[in-house]
Formats: sequence, structure tokens, C-alpha cells
Amino acid sequence: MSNPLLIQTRAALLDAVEALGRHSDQVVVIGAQAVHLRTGDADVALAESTKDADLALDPRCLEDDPLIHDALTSAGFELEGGNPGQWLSPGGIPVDLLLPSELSGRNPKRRSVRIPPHSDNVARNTRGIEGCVIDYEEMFVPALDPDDGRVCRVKVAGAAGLLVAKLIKIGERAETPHRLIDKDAHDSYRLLVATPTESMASRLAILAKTDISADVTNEALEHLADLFAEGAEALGSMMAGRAEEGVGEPATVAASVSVLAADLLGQLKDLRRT
Amino acid sequence: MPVFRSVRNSGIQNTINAVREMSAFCDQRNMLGFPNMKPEVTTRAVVEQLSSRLPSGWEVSVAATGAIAAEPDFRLHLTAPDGQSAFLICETKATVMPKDVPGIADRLASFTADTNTQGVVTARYLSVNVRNALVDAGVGYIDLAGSIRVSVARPGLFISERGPESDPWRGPGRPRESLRGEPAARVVRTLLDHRPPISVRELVEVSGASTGATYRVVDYLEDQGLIDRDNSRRVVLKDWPGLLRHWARDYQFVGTNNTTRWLAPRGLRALLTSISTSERMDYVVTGSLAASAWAPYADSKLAMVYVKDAESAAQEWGLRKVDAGANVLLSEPRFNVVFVRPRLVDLFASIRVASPVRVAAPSQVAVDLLSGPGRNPSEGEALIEWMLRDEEAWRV
Repeated sequence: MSNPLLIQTRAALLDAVEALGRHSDQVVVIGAQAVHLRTGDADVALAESTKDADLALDPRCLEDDPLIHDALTSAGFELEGGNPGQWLSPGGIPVDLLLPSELSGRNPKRRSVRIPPHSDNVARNTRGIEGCVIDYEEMFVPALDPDDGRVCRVKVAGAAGLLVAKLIKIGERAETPHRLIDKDAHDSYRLLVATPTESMASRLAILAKTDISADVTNEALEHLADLFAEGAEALGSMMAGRAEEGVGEPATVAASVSVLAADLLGQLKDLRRT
Repeated sequence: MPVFRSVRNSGIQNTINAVREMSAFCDQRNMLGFPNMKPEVTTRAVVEQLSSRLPSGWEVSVAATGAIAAEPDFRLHLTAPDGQSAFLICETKATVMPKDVPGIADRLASFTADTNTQGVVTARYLSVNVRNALVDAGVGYIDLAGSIRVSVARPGLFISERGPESDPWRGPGRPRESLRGEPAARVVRTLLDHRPPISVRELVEVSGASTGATYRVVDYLEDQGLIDRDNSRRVVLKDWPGLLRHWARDYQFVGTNNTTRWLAPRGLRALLTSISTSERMDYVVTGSLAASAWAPYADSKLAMVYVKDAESAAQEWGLRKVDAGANVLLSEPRFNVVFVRPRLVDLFASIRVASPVRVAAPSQVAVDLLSGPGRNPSEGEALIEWMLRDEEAWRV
């Protein structure tokens, strides 16, 4: 593992899980690190990269004690500029604590959350990650620095939950194209390549039937159809390809992601029919 | 000061007194293209070819015509602008094969001891192979199709111009001698894959080509100087990389065969995994994926696979037909020889495919790469390097 930022972001993730102590059962690793943990073996030209660690907080079984704020600050974490959920690890790496909107007790437009007795700004209200607190698996996640012997047992979001989150993000940002990030589309490609269509479809079918994740999942599937399955020239397919410019084969990636998206939607249709 | 002049398709720019009367004919010929009638290789025609390409101020004239066997056919006298003289010692040939070049070079060398002389072969048409062999032997050439290479040290003169790559006067009815057909593929593959010497009878038996066709291919290879015969008339392959490169000019993975473009949406590793676990046996992987087993180059981005029936294989392996973004080429071969002597190869080290895959013989992979797209030719050369280092590993 030669990329120092990957080593540091993994260390920050483990710092946060350790700091959360007994609450660590209520967090799920999401974001780029979860994508990489799920797709590490994928045959993809673009190298893994991330600048932060993202954790989804599930408030449904969250205990009152200790206060999340106290647990994190006493381990050396700081809230960055008072922004809800935006923490900085003792090593200076951003760690985002995100709470699914459906469980935030707040209007999705508000950034803070309402999970008393924990303070409103320990986590950020985020729409789209609902599936990640339903579709997950426990994994042993190791540090990447050879001198850091830590291995944490932690929940990691599954490919279906991560795909829904990515698609909601791309769909929201498609309204304001300057905020679109090619890497989000490429992460969707990575998830589709690494996950057999049948298992992705059956997990998505569950998310689409589960109360808290149904809305975002159905919306995500619409984005998958419009932005990817439509063809290699669709916005999402093009973005995924563009992310590989100079290192891989953009045209192949764009064609592949649209084929995989169309296959997935076809499989889901079959599932729903039976 | 030496004068360097390298030109292509130059018209007649310089007129020189000695050959001024030739120019009208020359202009006319260039305008009409090559006439059907084969021109004769006369001293005048050679002078005309040369004079039209000489830098200004240079003059050419015929020095003396050889009358006895110990003399060259003719000598050309060149005069530089400063009055210095150079001589071209010319031998005219009706046809020249690469195998003839050493003999010609020896003969010309006996006439060209001085630095101001060069031996030159003159002919109606000289093939690319012959021209390359002449350059290697330090012999100049002038042909009537427009290829010319003359180099004299003092007074300094260098003229190099490439004419057509095929004989413009060759009649359409006569089949072109080449390594294009199936018998050639069979004989060449056999010569490459087996340690020489091999008798023609064995060659017929092992290659599966007919006796007549085998003899024709062997004669052609002999004319091209690519093979020799030992005392028992057995075939000895002198330069197998040369044979591979020669074959690659006549045989192409894409051009020779029926090739279609496909997409493996989960990438090449997933494709090879499903290939290696499928029941299908009528395929061989070639190109860079195959070469990666022996001579890893860079990550392969394109799979090249020979398969008997592309449609059914594509269906079994989950491939999609695409116009853009293809990462797989399936080729239904014109000749079954591509499937001969396949290898079961473990590609885990190069692309982490767990079970072994059927791969074409290294000689087949090499020719496919040499004539393939993109950086394939460099990968082919890298494979030849490996083949040179480790002949035990691939020759029977």
C-alpha cells in the first residue's frame, strides 16, 4: 500500500470507530472506503483514492451514554468549523458522521440532526444513505500501515446500499452540473463490476421494500435507468468513462457501466414479476 | 561537404545535359502512371532515373561498358560541382531474390576498392526485401520503378528514394507469391514450432499442407533467403524471427480472419475466468493476454480470441456486441492452423485468473501481435525476445 493518504484515511477510520466505543455497533462504514472494501478485487484501471472517512450513524438503537460529542472530543477529534458531522481526526483527516434523513427526525433540508441527548451537530443529516444501515456486513478492517497492527470489527455497507447512495448523490447533483464528480459515477461502475447482477438485484429488491430505504431506492433506480442504462452516452456512463481518461479505457467503461446497469434493471424487473 | 538528398516522388527537377533528350519521355511516363509494357533495363533508362534525382550542379555520364565477364555491366561517371569524380559500378539483373544478394555484393566488391566508387544493382523492379538486403550488404540500387539508393563517401553524395512496395509491371493474372494462404500458414507454423532441420516429406506430414503446396512455399522461402537446405536437402530455418516478421506482412489477425468486436462488461479477468470454466474447447486466446504468460508487457486492455463460432461463444461468455468501447476481438479463423499446438496456460501471475486457459502457440501469438493494432507490434517484439531467450520452452 504505497499511497500515504489511503494509509492515513484508514487510520482515521479506525480512530473514529475506537473513539465511539460502545456506539461503534451503531455505525456503518460508507463512502469510498466502503466501496474499496467491497470491490477491492475488481478489474478496474483507476486506482483507489479517498481523502476522508465516512460513517453512517444508525440512531435506532443508539444509547445515551457516553455522549457522542464527548467520546469523539476526548479521543482528540474536533468538529470542523462547527459544521454538523464534519469531524477532524487527531491526524487531521476529515471524518464525516452522517445520519440517514429518514431517521434524523428532521426535514432533509436541515443539516443538523435531532437525536437527544446527543447534540444536534454530532452528525449531518444526509439523504440517500438509508440503505447503508440495512444492507451491511460486519468485516474485519485492518490498518494499512505495516506498523499499525489494529484490526477493527465493524459494519461495512453492502454494494446495494452504497450504489443507492451514489446514485442519489449523482441524481441530486445532475441538477447543478458543476457539482457533479466523475468519481461518483466511476464508483457506481466499480460496484456494478464487482457485484454479481443477481445478488445486487436481490439486495436492491429488499431495500426497495423496506420502509426507511424504499423511497431513496426507487428514486435511485430511476437515476440508474436515466443516467446509466440509457446507453454509453448517458450522463452517468460518460462520467464513469471520463474518470478513466489517461489511465484506462473511457469508451469501454462507459459501454460496460450502461450494459451492467441495464442488466441489473432487467433482473430487478424479473424479480418483481415473480 | 557531403550532399544529402532524400526525396520521395520527386518529378524531374534537374535536367542534365547528358540526358536532356530523355526528359520528355520521363515526364510522360510519370503523368500516365506505369505503362503495362515492361520497360527494358538499359543504361539510358538507369541514367535517366539517376539524373532526375541528382542535386543541382552534379552531372552523370556513361563511362565504359563491360564487354568481358571480368568487367561490370557498365560504369557511371558522376561529376560533383567542384569537379571531383565518383563512379557507380553497375550490374544489371533481370530479377533479384534476397538469397542472391550476398553473391552480387561479393562480385561488386571486387570492383569497388576506392572511396569514390559504389557498387549498384540495376533492375526493372527490386522488392522491399531485396532492397533491405542490399542496404545491409552496403550495395546501392537503382530500379526503374523509382527506388534508388546511392551513397558515395567522396565526393559526398547520398540519394535515397522508395518506390512502390509491389512490382508495378506484374501482370494481374499471375498469382502473387506470398505467405498469405493456408498452406503457407501451415508450413510456416511447422517450421517455426519444430527444431530444424526437417525434410520436406516431414514438413508435408506435420503441417497437413499438400505436397505441391508445401514445395511451393519452401521454394518461395528459399528464394526469399529465409531457409537453407542441408546436404540431405532438409530444410534449415536460418532466421526464425525474420520468418515471423515476413509472415506478419502477409497474415493479419484482423485482416485475414472474420473478426468481430465485443464488450466484456466486467473486464478481461472476468471474461477469462468464464472462458476457463466453460465447457467450450474450440477456442484459443492470443494477443497480449496470451503473451502475458511468457513476456508480460503492460496491462492488457484488449482480448483477442480465436473461436470457431463467435456468436455462440459470445453468448456463453456473456459478451455484448458493441460499436464503441469494445475490449474483446473474436476472430473466426480462415485457417484452422491457429488452433494447432495450443497451450494450457496459468495466467494467475499476470492477470489473476485462477484456472488455466487455452492459449495459442507462441509462434501464432507472435504473428498476431506483430500484425495487430496499437502497441501490439512492440508486444510482439517483446515476445520474440522471450522466444529467443528460451527456445526450449516453445520449440518441439
